Amino acid sequence: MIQKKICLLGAFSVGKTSLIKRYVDSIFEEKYLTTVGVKIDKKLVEIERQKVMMMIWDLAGEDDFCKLQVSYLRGASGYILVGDPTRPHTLDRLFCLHKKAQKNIGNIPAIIALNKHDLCNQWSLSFAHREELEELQQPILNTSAKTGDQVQSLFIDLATQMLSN
Amino acid sequence: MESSAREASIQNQPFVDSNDSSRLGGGAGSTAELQSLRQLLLGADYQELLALKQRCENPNQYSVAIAQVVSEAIAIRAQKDDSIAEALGPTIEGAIDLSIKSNPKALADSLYPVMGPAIRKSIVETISGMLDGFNQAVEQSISPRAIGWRFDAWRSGKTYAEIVFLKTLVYRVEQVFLIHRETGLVLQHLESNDVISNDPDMVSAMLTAIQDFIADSFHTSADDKLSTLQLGDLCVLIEQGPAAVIASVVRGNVRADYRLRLSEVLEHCHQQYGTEFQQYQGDSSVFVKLPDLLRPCLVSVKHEERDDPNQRRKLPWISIVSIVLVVLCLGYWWYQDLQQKNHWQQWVSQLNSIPGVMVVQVEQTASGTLIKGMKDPLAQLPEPFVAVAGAGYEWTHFYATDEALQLQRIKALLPAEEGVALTFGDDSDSNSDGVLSVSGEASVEWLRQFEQAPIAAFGVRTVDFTNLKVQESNQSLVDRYLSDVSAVSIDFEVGDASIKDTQEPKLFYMATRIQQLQQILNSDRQVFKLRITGTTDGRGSDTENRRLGLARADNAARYLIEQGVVLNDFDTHFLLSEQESEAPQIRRIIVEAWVENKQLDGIRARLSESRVLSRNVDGLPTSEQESQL
Ligand SMILES: Nc1nc2c(ncn2[C@@H]2O[C@H](COP(=O)(O)OP(=O)(O)OP(=O)(O)O)[C@@H](O)[C@H]2O)c(=O)[nH]1
Ligand SMILES: [Mg+2]
Repeated sequence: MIQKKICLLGAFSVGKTSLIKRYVDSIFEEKYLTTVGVKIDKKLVEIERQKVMMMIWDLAGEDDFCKLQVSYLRGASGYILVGDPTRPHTLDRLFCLHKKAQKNIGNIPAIIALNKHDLCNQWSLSFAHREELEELQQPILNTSAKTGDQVQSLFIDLATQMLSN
Repeated sequence: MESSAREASIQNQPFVDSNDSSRLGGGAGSTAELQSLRQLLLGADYQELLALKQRCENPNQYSVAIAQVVSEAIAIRAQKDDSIAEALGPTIEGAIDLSIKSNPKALADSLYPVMGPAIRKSIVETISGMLDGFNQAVEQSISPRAIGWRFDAWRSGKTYAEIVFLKTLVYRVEQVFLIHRETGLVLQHLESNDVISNDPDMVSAMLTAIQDFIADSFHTSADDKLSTLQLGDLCVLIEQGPAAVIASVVRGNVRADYRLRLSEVLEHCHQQYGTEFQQYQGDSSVFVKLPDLLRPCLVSVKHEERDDPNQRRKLPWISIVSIVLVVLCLGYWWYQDLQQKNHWQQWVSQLNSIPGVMVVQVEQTASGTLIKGMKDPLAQLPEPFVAVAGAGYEWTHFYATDEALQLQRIKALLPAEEGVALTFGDDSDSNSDGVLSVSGEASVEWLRQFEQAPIAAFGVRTVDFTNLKVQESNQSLVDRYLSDVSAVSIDFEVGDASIKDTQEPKLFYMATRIQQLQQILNSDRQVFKLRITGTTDGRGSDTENRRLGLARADNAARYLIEQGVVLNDFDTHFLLSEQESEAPQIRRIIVEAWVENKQLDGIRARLSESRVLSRNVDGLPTSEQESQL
C-alpha cells in the first residue's frame, strides 16, 4: 500500500466538502456548512492492483477575505480544482488557484471538476472561460455531488495520473 | 590565452607525436638528424620519455596521474607532520563559509545527527548543575500538593527535590507516530498494548495540518514549530526533524529526559533513512527497521515501582497517630460543646425554677448569648456560674402570682415581728393552695394589724393559725384583765342582796382574773385597786335601799374573799338610784378595777386604762402632773 496526499481547491461553496462526502461516505447534504481551515478524510482505492491510501485534504474555500494557506499544499501528490459554473466567478478563482498551486508545488497531476452538474441548466459558462479551461490542458469532469455523477471517476482519474507520474 | 588554446588542441588530439615534434624542432634539417640519433641511442625508451614529458606538461594528464596517488601522499605526509592540516585549514574554512552563505540548510541537515547529541550533552550538564537551584525553588513552593510532598520527604528521609521527581514522573506513552514532514503522511505508528488508537493516518495528517495552521495563523518565525499539545493529562509531544516528525502521545506527567529520548530516536531514524525520507513517494514498505527504531519511545513509568517495597509494608504509624489525634480532638471538642450546652440548659432551668422568672428564648448573638424572658421585679436572680457568666439579659416585667412572691408582698405590708413565721401555699400539697399559715409566737398588737391587712388581694383564701401562739405583753394583759374585771356585773332579785346561783360563775371568773392580774403586776411598784358599787332600783325607801346596795356590794366582796382574793385596798360602795325605774338592769353591782403606782399612794385618782398604760410606757409621771389630774 502506498499513501498519497491530495488537496481540493476552489472558491467557497463550490462543493468541495460535498464531493468528498459523496466519495467517502456516499451521502449528500443540502445544508451548507463552510469549512474552516482544513478537514482531512481518507479513502483506500485500488488502481491496477496497487492499493493507494488517499489522504484527502479539504481546504477552506478561498474568497477575497480568506486567502488559501499554501502551506497546506505542501507534499501533495495531486489536486482537484473545483468550480461551480452556476457562479461563473468561481472559475476565475479556479484559474488563480491553479497558478498559485503550480507556483508553490510545481507541476503535479491536477484535475478540474465543474461541479453541480445536476443544475447544468443554470450553468453560465462564457466562451472565454471555456477557452481558458482548454488552455489549462488538464482533464475536466462535470461532476455532481448531489447525484454522485462522475465523482468516483474524478478521484480515480487523479489517482491513476499520480501513479503513472 | 595560449595555454587554453593548447589545452583545446590537446583535448582534440591527445597523442599526436608529429604535431608535437614539429613544434619542438626549430624547423632546421639538423633537428631530424638529432631525432634519429636519439632514437638510435634510446630506442623504445625515448618514446616513453616523450610520453612522460608530455604527461607532466599537460595539466589534464598530470592531474589524472596525481589523483591516483594524492590521498596516499597526503596520508604519508600527514604522518610526518601537520603541514597538510595547516595548509588546508584556511581553504576548508573558506569553503565552509561559502557553503553556508550559499545554502545553510544543506550543512545544517548534514550536521543534524552530530549536533543533536552534542547539544544535549551540554544541556544535561547544565541542568544537573542547576539542580541545586531548582531544589531551592521548589522548596519555596507551598501548594497543598507541595506540602504533601514535603511531608513525604520528611517521612522517607529523602530530599524534597527527589520526592518531587518521584511524584511527577508518572507517565505512560500510549502512541508514537513518525510523520513525513512534507506530506503529513504517517511513516510508522506504534501503540502500547491495550490502547485503542483511532486512525493513525488521519491523526498524523491532522497533526501536520494543525502545525501548519498554527504557524500560519500566528505568524511565527519559520523555525518555530509546535512542540507540545496538552489536553488535561494527555499530552502530545512533537519533535521536529528535517524530513520527519516524531509525535508521542503521553498520558501523565512526562519526564524531561523523555524529550531527549525522542530526539535521539528521531536522529537514529534520520541516520537510517535520511535519503529515503527525502525521496518518499508514499510507499512506507521500505522502512522495515522503523518499528524497532521507534520502540524505545513507547515507555511507561509508574512511580509505585520505584518505591522501596520494604517501606510499603511498614505500619503507617504516622497516619494512625494523626487519625487518633484527630479523633481525640474531635472528641474533646464534642465534649466541650456538650458541656457548654449543658451549662446553658442548666442555667436556663435554674432561672426558670426561680418564682417569677420565665425564660422565653435563648439567642446566640455575635456578642454572646442573650437570654430573653419575663421577670417579676421581686424575683431575685442567682449569681451566674462561670460558664454562663457572659450572658446578656432582656427582661419584661410582670406580676407573678407565685406564692413565694405573694408572701413577700404580704410581709412587706406587716410590721416586722420576730418569732412569727408565715408560709403561703405548699408545692407538695394542693389542699394548701391559697392557705396562709401563721406560726410561732405573735404579739396581740401584731395580730391586730395582721387582721386589718388586705391580704386577700394577694390570693390568700384562708388563714391557718393552728400553730400560732399569741404572746401578750404584761401591759396588754393587765389592760385586758382590768377590762374583763370591770365588765362584770351581777344581777340581783328585787329587795334581795344575796348572790344568786346563776351569778356565781361571773364572780368566780372575776376572782380568777383578779388573781391572775395580781400575779402579773410588779408587786413592788404597782398595786391593784378595786371598787364595787351596789345599786338598787327606785322602789323602797332610801334607807332600805342604802342598806340593800351596800349589802349587795359586801356580798360580792365577801364572795371574792371566799375565793381566795387578797385585797389590801378594798372599797365597797352603794349608790342610790336617782331614777324611779324598776328595770332589773339597775339592781346590780358595778365593778371598777385599776392599777395604781405605789409612789402615788394617797392620791386617789381615777385613771383611765389608757392613761395607766401610757404612763407605764412613758415612765414615771411627776407629782405635779398627778395633782393636776
Ligand atoms: N445542487 C447541488 N448542490 C451542491 C452540489 N455540491 C454542493 N452543493 C451544495 O453547495 C453548498 C456548498 O457545498 P460545500 O460542499 O459545503 O461547499 P465547499 O466548497 O466545501 O464550501 P467551503 O467549505 O465554504 O469552501 C451546499 O449547500 C451543498 O449542498 C451539487 O453537486 N449539486
Ligand atoms: Mg467545505
